[in-house]
Amino acid sequence: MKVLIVDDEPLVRYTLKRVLESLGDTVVLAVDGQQGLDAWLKVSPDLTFLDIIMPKLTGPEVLIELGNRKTGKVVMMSAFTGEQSQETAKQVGADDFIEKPFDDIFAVVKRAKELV
Amino acid sequence: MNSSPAKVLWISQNDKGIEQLRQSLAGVDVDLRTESNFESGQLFLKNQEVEVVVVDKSFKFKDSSDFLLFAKRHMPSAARVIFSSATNEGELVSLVNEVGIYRVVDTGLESNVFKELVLGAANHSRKTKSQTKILQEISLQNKKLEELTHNLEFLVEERTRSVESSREQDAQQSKIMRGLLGFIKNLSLANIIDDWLGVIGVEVRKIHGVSPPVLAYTTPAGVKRLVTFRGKDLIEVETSHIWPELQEMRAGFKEDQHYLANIFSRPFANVVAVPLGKTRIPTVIYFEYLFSGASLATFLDFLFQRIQPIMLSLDRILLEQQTRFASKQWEQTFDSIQDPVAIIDFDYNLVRHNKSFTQSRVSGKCHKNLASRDDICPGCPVIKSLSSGNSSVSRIRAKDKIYEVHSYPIEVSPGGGITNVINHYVDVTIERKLFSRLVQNEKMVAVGALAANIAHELNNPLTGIRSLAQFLIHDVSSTAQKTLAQKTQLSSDLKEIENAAERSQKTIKNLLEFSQPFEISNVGEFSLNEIVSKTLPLLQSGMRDHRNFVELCKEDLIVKVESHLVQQVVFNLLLNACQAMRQPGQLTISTSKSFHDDKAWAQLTVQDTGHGIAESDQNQIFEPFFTTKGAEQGTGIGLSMSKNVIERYGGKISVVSQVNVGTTFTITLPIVGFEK
Repeated sequence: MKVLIVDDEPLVRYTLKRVLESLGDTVVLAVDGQQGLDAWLKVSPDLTFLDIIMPKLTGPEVLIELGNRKTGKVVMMSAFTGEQSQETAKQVGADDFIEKPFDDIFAVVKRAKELV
Repeated sequence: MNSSPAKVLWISQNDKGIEQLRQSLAGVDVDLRTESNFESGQLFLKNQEVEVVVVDKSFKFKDSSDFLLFAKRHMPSAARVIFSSATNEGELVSLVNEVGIYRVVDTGLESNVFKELVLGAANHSRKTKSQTKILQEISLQNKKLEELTHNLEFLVEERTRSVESSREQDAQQSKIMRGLLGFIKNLSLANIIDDWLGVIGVEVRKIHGVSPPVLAYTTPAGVKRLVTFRGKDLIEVETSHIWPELQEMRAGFKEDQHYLANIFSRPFANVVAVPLGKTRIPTVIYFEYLFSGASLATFLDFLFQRIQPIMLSLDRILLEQQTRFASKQWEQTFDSIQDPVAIIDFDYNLVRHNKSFTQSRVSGKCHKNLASRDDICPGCPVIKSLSSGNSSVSRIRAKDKIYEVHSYPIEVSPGGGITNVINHYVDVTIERKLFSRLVQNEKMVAVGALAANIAHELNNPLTGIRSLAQFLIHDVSSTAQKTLAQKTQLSSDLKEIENAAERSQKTIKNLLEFSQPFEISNVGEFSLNEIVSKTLPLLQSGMRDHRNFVELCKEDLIVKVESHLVQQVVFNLLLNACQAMRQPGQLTISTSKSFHDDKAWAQLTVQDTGHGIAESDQNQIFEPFFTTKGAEQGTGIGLSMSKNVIERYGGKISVVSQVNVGTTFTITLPIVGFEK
């Protein structure tokens, strides 16, 4: 499975990559929204972990920009807790929303992979 | 010698004798006139000149003698001859002594003898006459000489008198001059009104009938005062009734008399009033006097001679009084100022100071007195003021107080260059404490507003840390034995955790640093770029919603500030910008360098694309407690505090805004080392 991780927090990227790779997935990383958009169009991921608040382009902006070019399933993440973020995720067409920090990284990955 | 005939008058009743006479005189140059009686003889004598009078025997002796006496009186020069057979001695004596007879002829006349007699008599008469004439001439000359002498004597006397009188006048004049000089000298020695008036009082006592003078003047404090002496006692009356107006010296005005009578509650005789000076309410000196006519004229003359020195000396005394008053007024003004004020020289010696500066001076140095320091107070603005010639401000700590010291350079002697400064110490201890509290309050509110952002900032790395830890726990339990590669991986994983934890710690540290109450610190030199860089992370999460452009000037912009206060300003501006953009927008933060007003300026602009500020609000945003935010977002002091901080360091803060387009805040601060 091709997985794209778009997050400006290095350790989140690193950990998700480590977990996914240990499960045999191919992982592509992007450090901000703009890079994420570019990578998305390039690799057409099956699953994307997309942070909301990022420099240059935010997560929702990336989805809006993609429009119908969007491929695979999208899990939005944010360290901003509360219903506001979840609502935003839904509005821009994310398939799931996960609050940071994760309670269990394996559960998060499992739930995401199940979407696909 | 005789050019004219001898004039002979012959009185005779003897016609025969006359005929005989004529014959005997024939050939003799004689003008003979004969008369037959004394009456006609007298008539002739009165009208004609005669040289010889002859009376013959035809008359009585007495009549002849009388006629000759008559002839003597009327024609004294004529020689008197009588024909007489004089018998007695008495008649002869009488003829000689009284009549002054020339000849008594008692014989008959032989022609020869007679001729001789007549000619001799005529000769005698002429001699007598010429002698008389000479005598007359001499006596006339004498008379003239006498007159001349008399005139000369008179002239000499006159001259002597005039010389003496002029000498006397000179003496008098020099006495007057000496008197005047003495008077002027005494006036010049008087330093106060009382003495001065006393001197004039003594002077006018020289004129009998003048009372001690009264002076009406205005004191430097504006009080109308009348001063005089009663005996040796000084009498002073303050009044609100202004004395009658007068343009020039005047005497005997009822108005003056009544005015003085009212003021001193006693009747006044005639008064001479003399205005001294031409001010709106001139000073006037009054002299009460008891004389009139000539004496008044003398007195006025006396005054005229003295008016100039009187005026000049009074001017001087009033000026001195004014100066003393002004100096005292300044002293009182300075002492009544609650803040310490002091004049300090280039060597930090106290020249003058007010009571607030110190009550008991301990040494010459300002720092010793104010701060009990042996060296100069750190941050003292004196040297800067002296070297630049401009006023400067800075804060110093003295004992338990904080002073804002305003230092103003002054020239003590005109043209002598700047050698001293006036220091005004404003006690800002309380202000400073209140200000710190206010800033703290603002920070706490900001921290509250940022709570969500802070949580985000911390949650992000925590996500990684926790997740990776979970993964590693899982990893460790799945395989007991580690290959070298696995070990390397593990080490790298743990390093990542360490890094993230460190980042979190930094966030917390930043936050703590920001939220901690600041210490009262001194101004230092800081880079504006550094202050901005330090502030940005605090707002990172808030800014993440927006596109951010940070353009920092390549040059270090060194400004002289308290960095944590300026950081607070930067924070305020950034937070405002973030809060103004409800939708994701664009935030541009830039620093740059500019030159104007002979200075180099560090400039920071914070530009947002938020809702903007209504024009009507733009004037008020820098006022304390003005806010358009909700209570949970701000206290309303952020911008007023920012303005206060920036202006404190000689900077400016300004705003340009358009509703629904955005707002740009600009702050400028002078760059250190670029002041002219």
